[in-house]
Amino acid sequence: MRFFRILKFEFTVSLVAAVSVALLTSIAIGCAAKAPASLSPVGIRAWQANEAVLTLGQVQKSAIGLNAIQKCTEATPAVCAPLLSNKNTGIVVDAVGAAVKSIEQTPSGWRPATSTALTEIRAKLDASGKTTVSAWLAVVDTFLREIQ
Amino acid sequence: MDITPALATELVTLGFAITNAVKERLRASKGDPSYQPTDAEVLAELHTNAAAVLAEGQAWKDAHPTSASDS
Repeated sequence: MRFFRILKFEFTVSLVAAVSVALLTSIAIGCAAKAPASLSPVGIRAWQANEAVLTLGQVQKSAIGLNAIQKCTEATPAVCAPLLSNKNTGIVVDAVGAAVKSIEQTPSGWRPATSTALTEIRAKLDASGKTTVSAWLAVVDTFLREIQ
Repeated sequence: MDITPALATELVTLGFAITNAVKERLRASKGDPSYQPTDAEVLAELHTNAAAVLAEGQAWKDAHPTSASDS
């Protein structure tokens, strides 16, 4: 019975993630983030960097939001833990922070900075963290590719 | 682990909040023709947004000082 409840819980989390990812992907496709025509080449790079910072900000916001959600056992007394552990959330926060600082200093380097951050997050998260945030990271990849 | 109504509500709320935030951002960047910023305005926006992201991360770290060793 407990096994099926765990399955049900995981299914719910996966369902929410899948629906959100489907929505986000449908929005992203055919919706390239293109710089306004008023900008010089320097301005265009700053605009692209700003889009990357906003996207990384969403990654961080997702992680912090998932960290704030508690999942509890049904035993008495119930034992509760964050949906995304503090350790995994800290990994995301650190990687995003490093990338944003780098982008702020060198806007033209936004693409390698974001790539490094996402690679680091994927490499350092434990198995549970990867399961929880992998769907979001896939969407983020799509958004970053759309920045022009 | 069990699903409580509160948890299900929080998950759905989080999913929609993030979806809406990103959708708004894409809508803004895709194509309001009146949005014709200068280089200086875009640069200022970059610094403002970077500071906001860093502040949010720092606030979380301040609230979770032992996060590096937690599991």
